[in-house]
Amino acid sequence: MKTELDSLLKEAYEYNDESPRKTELLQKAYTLAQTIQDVEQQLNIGKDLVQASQWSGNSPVALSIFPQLLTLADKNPQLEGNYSMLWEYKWVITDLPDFPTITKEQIFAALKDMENRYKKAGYSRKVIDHYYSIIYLQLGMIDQAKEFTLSAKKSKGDSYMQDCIACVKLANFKLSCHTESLNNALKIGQPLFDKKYSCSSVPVGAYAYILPFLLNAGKMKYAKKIFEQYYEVMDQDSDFYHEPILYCIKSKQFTKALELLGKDTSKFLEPSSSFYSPLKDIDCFQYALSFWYLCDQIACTGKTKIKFIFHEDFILYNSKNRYVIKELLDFFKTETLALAKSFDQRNENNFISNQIIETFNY
Amino acid sequence: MKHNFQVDLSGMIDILANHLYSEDKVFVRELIQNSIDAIQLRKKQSDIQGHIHFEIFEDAQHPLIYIEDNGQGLTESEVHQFLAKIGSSLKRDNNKIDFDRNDYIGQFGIGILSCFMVTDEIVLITQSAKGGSALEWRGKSDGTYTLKNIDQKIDVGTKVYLKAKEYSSFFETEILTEIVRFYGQFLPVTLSVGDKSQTVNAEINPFKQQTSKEDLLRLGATHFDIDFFDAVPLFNPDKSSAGVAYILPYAIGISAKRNHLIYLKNMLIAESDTNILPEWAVFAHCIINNNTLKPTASRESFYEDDQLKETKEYFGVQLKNYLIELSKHSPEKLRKLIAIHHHPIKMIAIENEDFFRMMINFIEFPSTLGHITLPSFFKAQNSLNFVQDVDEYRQLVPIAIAQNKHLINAGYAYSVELLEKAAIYFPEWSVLAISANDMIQIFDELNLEERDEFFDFVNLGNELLLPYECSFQLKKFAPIDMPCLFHFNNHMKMLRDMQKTDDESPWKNIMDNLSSEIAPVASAQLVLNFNNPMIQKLSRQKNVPLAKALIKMLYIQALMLGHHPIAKKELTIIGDSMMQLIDLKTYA
Repeated sequence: MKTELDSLLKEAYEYNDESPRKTELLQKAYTLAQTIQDVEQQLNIGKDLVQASQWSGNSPVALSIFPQLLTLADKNPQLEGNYSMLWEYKWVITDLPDFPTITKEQIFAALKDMENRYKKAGYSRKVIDHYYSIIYLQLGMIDQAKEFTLSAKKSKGDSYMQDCIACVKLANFKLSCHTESLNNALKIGQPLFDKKYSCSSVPVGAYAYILPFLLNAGKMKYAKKIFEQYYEVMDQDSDFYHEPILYCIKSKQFTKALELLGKDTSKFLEPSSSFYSPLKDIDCFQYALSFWYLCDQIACTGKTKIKFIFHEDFILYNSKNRYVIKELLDFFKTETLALAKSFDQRNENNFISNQIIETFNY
Repeated sequence: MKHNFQVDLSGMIDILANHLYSEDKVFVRELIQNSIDAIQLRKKQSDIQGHIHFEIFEDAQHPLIYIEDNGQGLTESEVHQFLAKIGSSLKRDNNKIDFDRNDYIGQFGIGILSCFMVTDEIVLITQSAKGGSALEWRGKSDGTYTLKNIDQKIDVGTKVYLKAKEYSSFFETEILTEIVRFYGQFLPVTLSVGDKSQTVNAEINPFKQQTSKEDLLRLGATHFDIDFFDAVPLFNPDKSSAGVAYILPYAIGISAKRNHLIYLKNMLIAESDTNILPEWAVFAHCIINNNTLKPTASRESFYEDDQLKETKEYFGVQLKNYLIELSKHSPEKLRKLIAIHHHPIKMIAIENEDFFRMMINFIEFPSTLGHITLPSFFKAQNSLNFVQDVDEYRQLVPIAIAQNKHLINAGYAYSVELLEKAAIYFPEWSVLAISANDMIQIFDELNLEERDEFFDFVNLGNELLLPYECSFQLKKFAPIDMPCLFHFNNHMKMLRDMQKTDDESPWKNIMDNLSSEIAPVASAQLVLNFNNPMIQKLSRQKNVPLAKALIKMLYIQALMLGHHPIAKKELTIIGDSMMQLIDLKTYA
């Protein structure tokens, strides 16, 4: 089995990028390491698996093994220095608010655990406060997010655990979109738009995030410019953003919106599908909202049918790829509202359902 | 009021001499470089054959390296300007480094300082071609120097003397010869060490397009100590880069260190890991000379600019063209090459449709028909059924063969991606992923009488395996010597991982919430083969405790054969079942 494990790892590490296939191979290798009870390998492969699964858009895999890794690391301090596990904790923690079935109490309990581990390892509050701010923003608790951003700015920090400067600026910019006037937010975002700071999430994430705010303010010209910049750099990032699709719909670029939506059709599949995921997350909400808005706007033009290649396990799949717009609209509307309700109930606010209202008010 | 920075000269020399370069031996390259530049300068006025000569004067404690060239030499003002002013160089105009000038290797005016890595004093005697008397310059590592005229008449050129500050192998003739050869063997001047007739210049020049493949391979074997699979000449359209890529005779991982020898104007600049070839070209080592890329200050690597990017792209195209040419004219050779370097070739094929269409006729996949290309498999089967997991493939092979069906093993890197691309580029190929679950769906069911007869047995199995979230089924399938098939879906894998979360962990509740969503779609199935004599015997077993023990053991055996980790609650099964069997035997 050891030989098989080595061979699987060799195959997995043939991939340069964190692809879904690399995730599968690492998942298999991780299982094998568990089977042969090689704790050191399990820790090493596990950390790579967390990274590969997150970057390839399969965060549930990362979530499913991360608690085990923490326990293993705790029990085997001689095998695991704190650094890499704590570093990955930051990524994993921000996935939690994306799942509406995870309660706020559970999210903050995990965040507290991360905080304690950071403290124990001797790191300052700066990074912790920054992550409190990010989590609060994801939960739509803007005042608390602002408070923790200020606190993070004030804290003197060690640089070891801090995100890259581009990521920190992006997080602050995102918050400013909710707390500042649009003009101020644009000023804060300008260095990111101008690529003065860059990383795998910047500037592409900044372009995407500002678009709904520009649409709300009716700044279509500005939005057009930002969208063009987004479109130019979008391939450089593995994340998928829905905000640019909303811009395309608002600006009546329906073909482009469909092209962007066609890049990920793995959602809303039949439970019998081998690709089905029962875990509905924020991406599902955004996907459903985009499709609902698109169908609504196309329906306004008098068109009743549309061609689109959905996944063949999609609940409404039609082998001729021809769909009645009204049926798609009803389906995605129901899904959007149900998901918004579950997020809002969890968040105890209207942060997510407000996005629906804002989208239809553009 | 303006102020000038104060510079601690000896400290500056220490930084430049001891920390800029990664290796001590680089001082030899810097000396050769200065000589070459001086020779190039003199050649503009007169037709000379450049010659750089090294010699060692042995002395037990402080041996001395002597180097002379027949270059331009320096005048007194040039000595003050270029040897005493850090950052100043003969090759700089108006204080700007002129990267576009192709005739000089050095650019920064700091190379001579590297000699302080091995000596405390540099003695330089020079006679300028411009005339005037010969000069002697002595520079010390503390930042001071002296200059005096020499009455004696000497030939135009420069001689440098370096006395070893401590013992160093560089001051041994054999070692020095190797270093001089290493850096300068392809230079267009005569290089000699010891005796002036002992030249170290290479016989084979890999940068000339006329050099034969045999010579290139011979050169590669000497340089890398590898008998390469093949040699591919590389050159830029504007001839600014030329050289050879050597195809390795063994496979190498994508993240393995690249071994290249990169020359700038025929002088070795970088060895090992440079990015002169595209990332996917892991299967090649290269020897390349470039005349226009911009070296960094240490002259050990190049700036990552558009020119380097273009060169890299061009070399990438040439390597792809080489593979395409092989496919047309030497298909057998290409097959051998792909057998060795299948990973990088698959990687390029996934990214490039034309390349895919060409290479798909050569890339072989393991399958129940042996190692075979996709077109051949399709020809034989009219479809491309593949399994994306090696363990699952092994489990399904006997079942597929018994049903006269054939499967491709796509459990290796890039296989699934290639099959996905095949489905797009060749829609007529009917590419289908097969899992154990798909096989289970087509197994024969028991007839109604059999169902009734074994209803209690199946029920017993389901009750027993319920705590392990595994369903228990009795079906009929070939081959008869296969007692059961076990299948685990991905959700079950995830669920089992989530269930391993420590009870005390703050993540426990999170995992419980997610598990409750996943559980309805997580499935494990143990399907017993009613055609198998052992299973028939088991299913007819009237001794219920014995049947229970055997079912549980079959489940554990299936888990272990599938290389699945055994959960805590499953660990006790083996011991308990064995105990049960012993008790039954004792009782009997």
